[in-house]
Amino acid sequence: MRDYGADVMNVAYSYVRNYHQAQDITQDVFLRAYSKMNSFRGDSSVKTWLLSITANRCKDYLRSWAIRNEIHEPEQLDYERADSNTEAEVVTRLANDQLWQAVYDLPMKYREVIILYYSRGMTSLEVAQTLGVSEQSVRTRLHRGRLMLKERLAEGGDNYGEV
Amino acid sequence: MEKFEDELLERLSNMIEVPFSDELQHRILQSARQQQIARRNRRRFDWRGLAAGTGGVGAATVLIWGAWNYGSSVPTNAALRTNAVNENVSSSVLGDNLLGLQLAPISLQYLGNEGKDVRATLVNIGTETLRQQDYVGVLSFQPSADPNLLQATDWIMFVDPPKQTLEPGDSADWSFHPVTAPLDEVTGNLREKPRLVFFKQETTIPTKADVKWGLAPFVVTDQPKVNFVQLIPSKTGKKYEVHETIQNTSAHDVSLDNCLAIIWFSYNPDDNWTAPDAVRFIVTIAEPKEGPVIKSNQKVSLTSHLIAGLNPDLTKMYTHVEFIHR
Repeated sequence: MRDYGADVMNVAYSYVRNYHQAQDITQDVFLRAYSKMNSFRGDSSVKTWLLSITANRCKDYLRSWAIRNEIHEPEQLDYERADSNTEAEVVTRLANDQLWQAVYDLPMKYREVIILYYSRGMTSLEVAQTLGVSEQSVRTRLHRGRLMLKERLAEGGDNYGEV
Repeated sequence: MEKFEDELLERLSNMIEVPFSDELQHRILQSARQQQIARRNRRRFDWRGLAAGTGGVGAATVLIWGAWNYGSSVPTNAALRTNAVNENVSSSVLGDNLLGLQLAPISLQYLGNEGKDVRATLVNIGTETLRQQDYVGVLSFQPSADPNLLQATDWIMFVDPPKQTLEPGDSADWSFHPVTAPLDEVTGNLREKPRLVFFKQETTIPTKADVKWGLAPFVVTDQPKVNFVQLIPSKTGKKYEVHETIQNTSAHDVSLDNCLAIIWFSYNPDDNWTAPDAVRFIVTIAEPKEGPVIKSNQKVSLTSHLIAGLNPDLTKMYTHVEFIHR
C-alpha cells in the first residue's frame, strides 16, 4: 500500500477533485483489491491493476445518482479542506496551478490519459491496460489532449502556447 | 510540439502530490482487518442461521423521540466539520480543546430518504457485539451535493442506533423521522441527502480519535435552564427552550455561525453527552440580539429550541451545554 498509495490517491483526486472523496475512494480501492487479491492474475502490474480499479471506482462515483442529480459547488466549503495544514496547502496549491487546472478542465477521456501518462509515469500500454482501451486509442487521446491543453494554456496566457 | 510535450512531462511529473497520509493508511488497514473478521463471522453466522432457519437480518425501528431538532433550520453557509477540525480555527484558539470520537464499526449497506423518513441498513463489521448503548449516531442533511460525510449541513441531530443487539456480521434496519428537517415544498418529502455516521459511545483522547471536534472557547456562566413550551401538534413530542449565558474566554472574536451547541440532559450531574441514558441534541445556534460574533470576554444569552419525546421529562433532568466548532 505504501508503494502505490500516492498513485491511487492522486489518480482518484484527478477524477473527483475533492480531497476527502479521493481519500474515500482510495480506501475503497485498497479494500477491494485486498478482498480480490486471489483474483489478481498478474496479467498486468500491481500498479496497473490498482489504478484500473481506481479509474473504475471514480467513474462509478461520477456516474452515481448523487453526483448527477445534485449541484456541486467547486472546491466546496470545508469539504475540500484537508485534514492537516500540509494537505490543505497541497490542495490549495493544486487549485492555483494553471497547468493543473487546464488538465482538470479537459474532458475526462483526455484528462485520464494525460494524468496516467505524464503524472503517474505510465507507458501508453499501461495506460491502455488501466483504462481497458487499445494502445492506439491512448496515443490518439494523448495527442488530442496535448493539443487541447496547448490551446487552453495559450488562451490563458501561459507561455506553453508560444512553444 | 515536442518541446511542449517535454515541458508537460517535466511539469506534470514534478507536480506537487496530494499526500497519501499515514492516517489514511492506518484507516485502510483497520478497515481491512475489520472486513476480514466480519467476513469470517458472517460465514459462521450464515451457517448458524441456516441451521436455525432464521435470517441474519433483523429489523429495528428507531422511534423519533429524543432526537429532534427544532430551529436548526437557522443555518449558516459554514460547514460542519466532523471528520476534521476546521482549519479556519487557529490552533491558539483550539489549544488542546479537542473532543475525540471513534467511529463505530458500522457499515451502511443502505441509506436513503423514503418520503419523510430516513432509512438505513446497518452492518456490524467489527469483532464485538454492539448494543444500543455502545454507540450513537449523527444524522445530518446537506443543502447541496457533496460526497463526503457530515462536513456541511443545515440540519444535524444525534440519533439512537437500532435497539437490537448486533453481533459481528449482523445487520439491522433502521429508520428515523426527522420532523424538522428540510422538506420539498411540492412533495412534502425530505429534500436533502442524508448523512449518517455512528460513533462509539465513549469519547477518546484526540490521538486515538478517528474524528476530532474542536471545542469552542465558551463557558456557560450559569446553570442552563430548560422550559417546557408545548406539545407538538401530533402530540407525540414536546417543545422545549433552553436558556444559557455564555462567555467567550478566548482572546479572539468567535462567530456563532461557526459553532454548534451540544445540549444534553442527564440524571447524573456529572454525565457527559455520551452517557447511555443521556438525551442529547446537536444544534445550530440561534443568533442572539448582540449579533453572531462574540467578542473576547463578552457574555451573551442564548436560547435553543428543541423537540423531544414525551418522556423523559427534560425539565426533571440536569441540563448541560457545550459548544464545538463547525
